[in-house]
Amino acid sequence: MKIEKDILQRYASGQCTMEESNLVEAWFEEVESNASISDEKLDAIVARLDKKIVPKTKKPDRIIWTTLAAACLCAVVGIVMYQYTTEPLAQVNVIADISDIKAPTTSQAFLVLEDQKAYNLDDVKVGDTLRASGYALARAEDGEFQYVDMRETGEAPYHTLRTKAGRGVSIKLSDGSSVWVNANSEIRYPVRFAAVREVKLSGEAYFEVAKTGQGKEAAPFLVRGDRQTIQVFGTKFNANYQDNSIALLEGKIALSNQGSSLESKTLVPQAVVMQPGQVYVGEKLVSDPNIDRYIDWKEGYFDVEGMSLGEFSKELSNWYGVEVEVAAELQNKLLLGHINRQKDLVDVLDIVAKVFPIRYMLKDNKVMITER
Amino acid sequence: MLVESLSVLTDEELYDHVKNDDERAYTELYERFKRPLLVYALKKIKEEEAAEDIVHDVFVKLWVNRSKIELKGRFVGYIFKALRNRIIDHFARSTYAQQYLDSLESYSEQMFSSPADYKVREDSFWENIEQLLDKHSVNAPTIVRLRMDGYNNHEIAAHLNVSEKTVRNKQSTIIKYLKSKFTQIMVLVCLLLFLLF
Repeated sequence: MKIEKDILQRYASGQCTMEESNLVEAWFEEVESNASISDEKLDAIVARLDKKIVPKTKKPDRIIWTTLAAACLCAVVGIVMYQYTTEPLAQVNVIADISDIKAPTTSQAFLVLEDQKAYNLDDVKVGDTLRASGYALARAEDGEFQYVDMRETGEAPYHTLRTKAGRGVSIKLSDGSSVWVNANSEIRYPVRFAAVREVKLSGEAYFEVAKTGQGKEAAPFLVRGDRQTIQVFGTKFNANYQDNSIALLEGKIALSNQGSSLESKTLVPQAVVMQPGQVYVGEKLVSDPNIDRYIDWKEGYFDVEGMSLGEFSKELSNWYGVEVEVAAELQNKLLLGHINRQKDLVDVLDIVAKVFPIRYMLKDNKVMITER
Repeated sequence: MLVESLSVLTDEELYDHVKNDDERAYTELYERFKRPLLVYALKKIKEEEAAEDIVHDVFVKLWVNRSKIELKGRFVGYIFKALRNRIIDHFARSTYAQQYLDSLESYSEQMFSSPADYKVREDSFWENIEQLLDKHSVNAPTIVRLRMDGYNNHEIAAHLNVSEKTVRNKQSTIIKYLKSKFTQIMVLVCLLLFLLF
């Protein structure tokens, strides 16, 4: 291919042919400045950049006129309030000591409303209500959230419930179905269901779906995901879309290994029909006599019966919000029993250490488990 | 009183706020991406000041053009492509412009461009970005989020995903790439042998 002299200029202004763009981009991947930069140097550049970009609020000049001062007091209070209510930017938590790693005490659940504003649901106490336009969200005695619909007609907005590493949260949807959302997960749903009941899930949640209508009138309930879709009528099941593992506790569900999006009209072919007590995992259907272990997270314990240390470390990461790494030779060691989730991480690891000769330590903000 | 939380919003949700002139959302995006963008720019450009200016420029344009910029996919894709564009523009204007051009020319002579190469190149672009985000993000939980729900976008899908299937696919792409390279080398070796004897 002939290279024109102005190819780079034309690339930058978006005037290259497809072939030229491909070439420039492929070449660009190979370009290396070979300049290695220290962390200190990078911090210095970042600091310079911060000064240029983040608008700094100027300190007000000293106020001489008292009348003005009084008028300004309100404004100052306003600014202070604003600063207090403005959440500081998230920082990486640096853990000083491994014994500081405690079980989460908060749900770490956030509700994103239709205007894309997010609120921490831990701030909503039992009996409180969160008011949005046309809706209120109330927290019941058992901690479950429920909507109070003040409109009852018209199009209902979608809300997103998003959790970080924490205890998770439960919510009652408009049809009476309950959903427990595990840590590091997300569910999106309309505040009031239309003819089709549908939600979008990523991560893990346990559903108790209410049956609505009889026989042919029965309304399906769809749990859509990026890589899976579940269709149910009235059942209890745990869906872990992150690890692609579905456990059915009651009723019947139809499952597809095909993702789908909310409000999509195309029907998803339902490849697998599951019976109670069955688990769909590793793209296979198996019976599990201990089906309750799939909802241990909601019941407050770790059910590690027959679980490998490698799998368990993932659960620990999810719950304690810290990366847990297991040495390769320990990955497949199988565990037994139940462990209370309220324990500190160290206490949990000490229990494991009674069964296997393991050693644990904190390194680079990660918990490393190695052979003793 | 309920406090609004910005840190749990996705990059795309934040960008929606930016479009509505929300400076705090802009600052949050800046905090999330300043380090990864700087490190990326420094990997490509020797002159630190130029790299700094370019990243500055990318962020300024993000604010100034907020009403015009419509995200087609994920924000991370938009911002890194904007940066790449800006760096290439810098190359074209730099005092080393001729060297860059020469390097491009010799690269083009070695390369047999094919759709497979294009795919590999895209892979490599996303892989680099993923590494940068892993290492330099101030907001590690965001990256976990990105890993969890970011896969609906086709551009990054294969690369931020950790599912086995994707890894398998990716490996096969790399193997295909290596195979195609290997045949090219074999052809060259044969030619060489032919010319020598």
